Amino acid sequence: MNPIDLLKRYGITDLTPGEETQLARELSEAYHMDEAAASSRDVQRIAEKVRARLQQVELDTSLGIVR
Amino acid sequence: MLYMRWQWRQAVTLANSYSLLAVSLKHLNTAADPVIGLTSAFTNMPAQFPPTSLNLLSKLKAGDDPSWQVSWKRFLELYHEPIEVIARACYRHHTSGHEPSSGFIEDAVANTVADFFARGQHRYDKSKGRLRSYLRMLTNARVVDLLRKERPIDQKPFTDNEGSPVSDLPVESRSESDAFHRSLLATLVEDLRNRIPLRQFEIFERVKLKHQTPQFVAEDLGMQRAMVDRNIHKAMTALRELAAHIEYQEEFYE
Repeated sequence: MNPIDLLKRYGITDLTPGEETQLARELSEAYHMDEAAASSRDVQRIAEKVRARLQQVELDTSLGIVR
Repeated sequence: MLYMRWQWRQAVTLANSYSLLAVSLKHLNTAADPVIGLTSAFTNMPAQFPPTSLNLLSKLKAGDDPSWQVSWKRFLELYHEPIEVIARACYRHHTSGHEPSSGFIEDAVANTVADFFARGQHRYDKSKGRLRSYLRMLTNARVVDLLRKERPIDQKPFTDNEGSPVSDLPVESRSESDAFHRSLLATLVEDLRNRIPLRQFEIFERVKLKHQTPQFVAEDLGMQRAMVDRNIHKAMTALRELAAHIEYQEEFYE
């Protein structure tokens, strides 16, 4: 079931033990994905590329270059 | 240590009071209250604490709104996974099933995120559709750009009379949908962190996200087990309220 559906029902109707487990698992997976991304070298490498591109856009804009 | 925690709690309480005061003063101001001069003076004060009323997804979707405060770095951390999955799917779609190199995917993700934050006239417009659909379209466009430069084997020709590859998107896969759900849930947890008291979030984080037992957390924090359960219930209720926001409702469903 969609996690947002489970969350919408939380505290209003009882979740089954299986649904409780699924919701906890999905929240935990999302949290750990986010934690891992913050220290991931791959993400840091992509971040450097994004930084370079945004600086280029800024430079182009200041020079009046439209892409 | 306890004193430092108490001090932090006082600071958080003060921050919340400030936000509430600012909101109340704004209402007074718009209602042409007789104390308008006084309220203007207060509302023009520089904000000392970040506002907590808008959630992260609202800010991402706000476009040109002044509340556009989410940094591209944070956006990358939260959404790199679905963008990566979309980029792979688009590459396969346009190259008759070939697998992209990791360098290609990195470039596609970087270009998508840079474009998302740098675009002016083509910036995301929530009245035209979901953030999720916009990200798919944007990622596909950046993959097509890179393919045009690299020309891998068996690439379909990208000529005008073949139709526009930019509008030719692959069907959303299960892995893409799962990755997007994970990013949205992580965004929701981030919103929750900004919404509830720090201690309450810490208890929620340790029990629900890091899977420490409520009994262990209670003993470690020197509180009763019932207090831990109450805090978790409050945090989960706040999470449910956040999830009920229209932004999340729109984005979560297929």
